[in-house]
Formats: sequence, structure tokens, C-alpha cells
Amino acid sequence: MALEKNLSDQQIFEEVLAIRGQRRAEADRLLGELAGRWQRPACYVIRKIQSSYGKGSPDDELELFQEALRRLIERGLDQYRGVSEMTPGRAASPKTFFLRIVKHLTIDHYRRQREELVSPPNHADDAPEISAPEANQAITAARRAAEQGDARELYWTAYDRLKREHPNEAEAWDVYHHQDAEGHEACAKRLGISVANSYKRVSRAQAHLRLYLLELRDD
Amino acid sequence: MSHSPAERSPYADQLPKLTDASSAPDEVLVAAGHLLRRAGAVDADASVIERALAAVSVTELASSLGAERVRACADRMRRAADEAFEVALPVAEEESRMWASAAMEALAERDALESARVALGRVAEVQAEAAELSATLSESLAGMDRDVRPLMRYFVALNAERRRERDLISEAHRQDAFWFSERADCDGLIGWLAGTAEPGPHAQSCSLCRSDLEGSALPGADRHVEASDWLRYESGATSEAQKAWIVRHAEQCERCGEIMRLADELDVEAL
Repeated sequence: MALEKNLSDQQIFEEVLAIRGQRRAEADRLLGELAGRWQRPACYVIRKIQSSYGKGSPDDELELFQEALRRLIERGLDQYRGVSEMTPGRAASPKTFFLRIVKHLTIDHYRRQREELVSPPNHADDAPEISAPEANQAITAARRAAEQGDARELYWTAYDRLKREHPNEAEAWDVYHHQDAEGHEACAKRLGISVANSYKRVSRAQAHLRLYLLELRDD
Repeated sequence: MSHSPAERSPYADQLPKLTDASSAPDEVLVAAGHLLRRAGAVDADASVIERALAAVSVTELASSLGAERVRACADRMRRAADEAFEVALPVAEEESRMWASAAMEALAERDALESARVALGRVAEVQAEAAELSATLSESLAGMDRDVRPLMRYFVALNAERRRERDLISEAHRQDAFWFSERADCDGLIGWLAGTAEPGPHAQSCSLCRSDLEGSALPGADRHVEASDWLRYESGATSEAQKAWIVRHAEQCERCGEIMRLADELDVEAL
């Protein structure tokens, strides 16, 4: 029996975080073990959400499970480490963290699709088992996409910088784009400035944000 | 080569500094370096330059060309990036010239340090005690340049003057002078990034501009709260600005509000 069978989720996950930069094949193997352990509750989550939306099919499960693994590898490992460091002792378990990825990914998925509902399981143990090769296949598929950055995270990092360095422009951007003001007249009215100044501030904000994004990507 | 007064390069005023007894050692070094790097633009007697460099006191240079000056230049360059941005997208049009002048002064200081480096390299060939100072200066400048070179995008509104300065520098030294040469043809970049102008033909032909425009695409204005936003929200990993946007949007948007309620109901910690 492989050594990791005797280890807890936490122990395996910490090992993955420690070795993934240098021993990728080993890290993938360990992730495969975790994927095997988590696939049943993950499928339970997917089916519960299918039920809430009145949509979905069993074929979606592997696809969504693979996508969740991709997200975990792509950004989730760094995110989990970051949150653990920010709030030591209060971060969720790795399994909970992964199931949250599954939850939100699935909710996102069914906002966009309409499919026939199948009967949801009554309990997590009723969800069908995915084989070890399928779990490893999921890891391989996830690894293929692991190089892409999370554009939205970079965007909010850039926006935070805009708030610090150019608060007037950030405020205009927030009203115009985040609060979806209907045009520069509405934006100007809310801010108590002229339409010309609204246009100017939003344009300057956009240029700053894009320059900051480029600097983040250069890093 | 001789020039009429009308054609005389602005750097011709560096010549008197080589022989003026009141010139400080670093002023002599910078003047010599400016002339060495612009040999095609300024008619300067090479022997005058060499005599001036031979007379430079290396011990007096250490304080005026040390780490403090390089740090100050780096700070100045970073401020100049903001000043150059104000030229491209000014709050008040009448301030553009002021910002342009301030930003170009910063680039001129960087150029002065490069001239000092080149001249000091010449001195080090004949004065052994200059070798260490030359190496230290080169290393400091390289370190600064790693930080400030990515900022050259900000300076495109100054490109007309940057090109003039670039073209005065001899070809052998021109590409090293990235403060004048880098993105020196990408004039419209800031306007394109701001959305105040449509990308022109240069944007299609320039791989750097294409890469910048594609690589800085912002999320669409009509987006909803996505899975990655929710995950960060639930994990406590959002900034205050993002959290405020998520909560406000979920209050106003029926679809995202429903998702927030559904997410709250499904307690994955219990699984």
C-alpha cells in the first residue's frame, strides 16, 4: 500500500504544497490520492446544486470535478497557502476548501445551462465512485491549464493600487464600472463633477489599471 | 566635422566644462561621457576629453557617484513615470508642458549617470584605483534599471523629444540608452490603453504594443460575481474593495443574490 494511504488529508496537502515546485510528478500522485478521497462528497455537492437549479446530468459530474481540480492546482494551492498564512489556525481544511471550489464552480456552471435534472442522492455515500485512473486523468487535464493566471485576482490587485495612488480616478471607476452607472452623466451626477471630468477620470483610471496589470504580469 | 551655430548640438555646451577649473570631478566625468557618447553629433577634440579624464581625482568621485545618487535617480525616475502619464492624459491641459519638462529632467539625470559610467570606464583603463568605483557604479545602475525599465511605457507621450535625444547618441551607445530609445515609437500607447483613441497602424505592426493591448484587457463591465470571486469571499481572501463590490452587487442583482443564498445554505464543512 502506498505510504500516503495512512496520511490525513491535511498531511498529504501540506506535502503537496511543499514539493510541487520541485517534484511535480510526486505532487500529482499525491493530488490523485486526494482527488480519489474527495470525489464522492464533490459529486454530492454537484448533485445538490443541480437539484436546486432544476438542471444537470450525471455526465456533468466528471467534467465539473476535473474543472474544480484544475482550479485547485491553477490558483487554489497558492490561495490556500495565502489564506492560511493570513489567518493562521482559522483556515478551512483542504477538503472544505476544495469543496467550496466545487460548489461555486457548479453554481456558476448552472447559471448558464439548462439541462434535465436527475434524482439527487440522499447522502454523500450514494454518489457513484470515480476510478483511480479517472482521478489521475482529472489531475493531468488540470495540470495542462495550470500556467494561466487568474485575471480577476490581478484586476482587484490593480484596483486596490489605483485606490491608494489615485483615489479620485478609483472613485469614478467604481461608480462607472463596479456600480454600473448609466453613462457619464449619471456618474458625474453621483460624484458631483462635470461630465467632462467624469470622462477624464474614468479614462485615466482605465489607463492606470491596464498599466498596473502589465506591471503585475511583467513580475 | 563643423557645425554652424544653428546646427550646434545642445551638448556642445559640455565642452567648456572639460577645461573649466571650477568644474567638480563628477561634472567633468559627465561632460566627457556625454561627448564620448555623442561623437557624431558634437565636434569635440578627443585629446581634450582624454586630458580632462586623466586629471580627474578618483577619490573625490566616490561620494558624488555613490549609491545615494543612484537611489535618488531611481526615485526620480519613478516619479517621472507619473509625470509623463500626466502629459499623456492631463487633468489640466495647461500643465502638460510643466510635467513634460519635469519628466525629461529625470531622464536627463539617468543619461548623465550613463555618461559618468562610460567616462569612468575610460578612466579605469589608465587609473587602477578607478576600477572598483567603475564596477560599483555599473552594478548600481544595473540594479536600478531592472526596477525602472518596465516603466518606459509611461513615457511614450514624450517620444518626440526622446527620439531627438536618442538620435544624438552614437549608434554604439544608442540601444543602451533605453530611457530615450525604448518604446520611442509607441506614441499612442497610453491613449489606446485609456480608450481615448483607437489603436492606429503602429499598434498592428508593433509586437510590444499588440502584446500590451492584449495583455491588459480588463474584465467586462457587465460581469456578475464569478466562482473565483465567491471562493475568495468565502475563504476571507478578498480585498475590502472586492468584498464591497460583491456584497453590493449581490444586493442589487437577483441572480447573484440567489447564488449567495444558495452558497450559504450548502454547508460543505459538514461533508
